[in-house]
Amino acid sequence: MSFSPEQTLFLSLKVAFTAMLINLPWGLWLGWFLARKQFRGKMLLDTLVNLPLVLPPVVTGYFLLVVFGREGLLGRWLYDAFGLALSFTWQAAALAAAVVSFPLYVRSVRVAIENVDPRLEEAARVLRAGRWQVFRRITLPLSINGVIAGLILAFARSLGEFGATIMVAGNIPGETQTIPLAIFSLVNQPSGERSAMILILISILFSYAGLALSEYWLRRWKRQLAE
Amino acid sequence: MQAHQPPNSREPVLGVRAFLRLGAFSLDIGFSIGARFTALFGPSGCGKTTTLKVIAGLLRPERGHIRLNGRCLFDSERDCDLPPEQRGVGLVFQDARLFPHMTVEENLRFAFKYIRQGQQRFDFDEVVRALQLQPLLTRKPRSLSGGETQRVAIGRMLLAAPDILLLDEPMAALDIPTRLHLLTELRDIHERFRLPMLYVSHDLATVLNIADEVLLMQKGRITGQGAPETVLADYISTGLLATETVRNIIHGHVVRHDDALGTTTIRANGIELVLPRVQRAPEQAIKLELPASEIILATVQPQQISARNVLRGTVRNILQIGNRTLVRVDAGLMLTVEIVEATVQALNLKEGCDVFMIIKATAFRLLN
Repeated sequence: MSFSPEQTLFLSLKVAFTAMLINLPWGLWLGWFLARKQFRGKMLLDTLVNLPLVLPPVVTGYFLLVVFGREGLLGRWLYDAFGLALSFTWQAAALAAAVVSFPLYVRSVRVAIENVDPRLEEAARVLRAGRWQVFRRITLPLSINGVIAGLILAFARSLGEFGATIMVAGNIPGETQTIPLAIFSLVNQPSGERSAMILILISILFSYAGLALSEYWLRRWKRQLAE
Repeated sequence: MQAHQPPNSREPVLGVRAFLRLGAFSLDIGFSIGARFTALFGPSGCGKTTTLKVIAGLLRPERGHIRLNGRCLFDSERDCDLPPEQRGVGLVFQDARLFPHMTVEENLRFAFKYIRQGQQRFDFDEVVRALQLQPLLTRKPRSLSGGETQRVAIGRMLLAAPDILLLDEPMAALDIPTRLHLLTELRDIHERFRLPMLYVSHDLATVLNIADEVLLMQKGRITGQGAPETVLADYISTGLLATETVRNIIHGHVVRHDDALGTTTIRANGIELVLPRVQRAPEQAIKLELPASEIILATVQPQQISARNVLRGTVRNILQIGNRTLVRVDAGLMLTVEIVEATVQALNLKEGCDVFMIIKATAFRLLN
């Protein structure tokens, strides 16, 4: 199959967006949980969440394969029950990107929520708002800029994901070959360097834009905090 | 029970029995209060705020029960522990806690979504008018002064339609004129909306001037309950009282100006008082502060005296406060006079005896 930069770019964006959607709700919940709850084993959970940050992505990918592969613990059940085979599909790439970028997102959510004054939440409770309403009307609006900064950072990390992706999704052009995988393949081909250059430039552009945007929302958040 | 027909003011509205340990501090309280303006008075750190949090459901007691208008809010013996949002207990915090991302109006309307039809006690416009919030509605909390912030916080809590309003020293950070002004408004709201209030304070003057009843709190226990004079007299005898300036607050209206003498005459509770000329049109409302120590007592009518105000009245009670003495005199207008103990004996002051209060025109301070 011939190489197409548009297709690779589109696939990468699709994978990163899907990863973001997977992480969005429960990263928010977990960040809130870690920020607001005291419980036994909190440090253990915190470490577990942050593990993909320092673990070699290849190892993360290996574990994903063990769990979600055709012979994996969950993978076998998914296949038997629903006929779903996750490994070596773009969905597997999205899953890998989600797991690897998850700590960045949760961390941002947690810090953002920790900086919301819990006394305001108390005041809202007394004003007849239930827990969920307090989260929706007080906690989230006061931390949303930090949450968005985290989402963007995680999105940028997803776009660059390589190690876990190649383990669990392979490197199939047009199907699971995202930008970093394509660069890797192209550079290893005799005449691929020109094409790789385009993707390298795109990568730099996206990374830079991601960091700048994340920083922008971080500043908005800090301004809001100062109020 | 209908929210708009509160029970007889002496019937218990709120009943509390609670035990709670917080580190080295332990709270062990039992009391019940009626539909009145009750002050919870005691030194800093005695557990006043903790008590309010327990009632509001923000702190959970280890043992006890809390009842509001016959409703169980908490009972460690039974399966009863309502979350704060279902208690119908309003709490105005010392630090106001306005939501910074909302305008004043959004803050005020915060609770509207959670109040069912018919549960609403106060009309939005009515509360806005009573607390003079109209000019603030579009502003953000950070741009408000301390007094404005607390007015919004009180209004916001009222609009959540509580069955009782708890106030945690909401005036502590305010300057004295603002504080007195707001306290008067609060008292008006209490009477107009017939809303039971429990007001936490460690300020004696506030308590004496505003409360129908006082709960005295010391070291996590309720140590007294009753009329302000009685309870505080007991408290004062323990020698724990800080040096407080006791102030009288006088509400009246301008009667006339005498430009030749440079004075203004006002009327309060049918009593005329003379003070230095103020820039205020006749019939306008006026509010004055008069320190209790600025009033002189005499048992015979003074003659040829420079002071412009001589009021005849009857001694209602005499409170001993350490080495200080407060005499409450009813001259149609109730005033508290501070004298030294020796004066009581020299003048042979007793409850029920007639006295003259002598007040210099310059002793008054204009509050509004």
